[in-house]
Amino acid sequence: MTRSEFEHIAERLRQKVLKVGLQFFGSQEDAEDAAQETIEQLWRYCEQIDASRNIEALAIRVAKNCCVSQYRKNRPTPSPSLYGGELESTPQEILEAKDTERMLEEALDLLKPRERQLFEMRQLEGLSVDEISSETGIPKLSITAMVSAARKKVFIELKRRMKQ
Amino acid sequence: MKDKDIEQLINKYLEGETSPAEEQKLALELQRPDIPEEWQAIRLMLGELTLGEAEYDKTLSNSPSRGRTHYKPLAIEGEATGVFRVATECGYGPTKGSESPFATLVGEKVFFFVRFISSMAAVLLVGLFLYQHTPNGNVNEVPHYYTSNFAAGSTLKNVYTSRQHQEKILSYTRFKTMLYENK
Repeated sequence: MTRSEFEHIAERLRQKVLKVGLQFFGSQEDAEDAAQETIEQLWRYCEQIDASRNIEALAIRVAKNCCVSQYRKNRPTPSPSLYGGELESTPQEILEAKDTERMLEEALDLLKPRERQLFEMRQLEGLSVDEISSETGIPKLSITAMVSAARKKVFIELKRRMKQ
Repeated sequence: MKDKDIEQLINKYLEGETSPAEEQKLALELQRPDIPEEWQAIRLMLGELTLGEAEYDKTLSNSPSRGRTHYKPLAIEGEATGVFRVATECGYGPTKGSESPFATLVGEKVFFFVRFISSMAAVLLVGLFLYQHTPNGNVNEVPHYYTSNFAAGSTLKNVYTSRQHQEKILSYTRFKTMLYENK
């Protein structure tokens, strides 16, 4: 998706993500901040988003993440994760995160285009098999089989790289 | 969730049979420290978005007052609801953002007190309304024309004709009264 294509739908997306923020915070101000952050993130990565994909579903997921991050920041006693951890990442953690991101990206490169598309529809957009089926026209059983094949390939590749 | 259950869920995930909700659940479970290497790979595959969504839903469900203003329904509409709503809007209702248990406790007490007062006010208003609209005089007193015409020895025909006659008289009386009032 180009930047200009994104600009055309930005306002519509903003209204959608604002609702997510309002439902979470109950305050217009916090919801506006979360919506702003969401649109910024989508803007940053919009060129990597396939224009034919369900960007609204992705935007809502990103908005939920932004709400959670903002909620953690605003809390008086920071508890960044359900199982502990620090709010601010150390340089070591940032490097590790980048490394795992690269590892996942390389594992995804091994997938066939169709497999990758279905994998991302499930993982990035959070769509159910029914939703994917209605969007792509692929039968549900085929989707399940292809998603399973994709996941197993990525899983094996990740395990192999982690052992190295 | 036990390790065995997590293992089953991971297998289901790899078979592509998990629902988005199950994947969110799995993402939350895999946030534990010191998980096996295989599970780390699954955590990585599930990604930050699934985890964020799971935490979003968890946070929303943990604080029911978050995100929306609840008006608990009252049996009596009208004034009581109005008073209650005003009280809620003024901050006497369930608190939205307060995290302190003490603040929540005080808030709840005030909330129930306001609700009790508004309910009592509603009951009094209904009572006052009924009192104002009660007809004067003895309500148990039945007009003579509504009394039964059955008497010892009377036949059904007698009763019927007698009632018809009384109805005619009553209609005539009402008509006369109306004419008198319209003058």
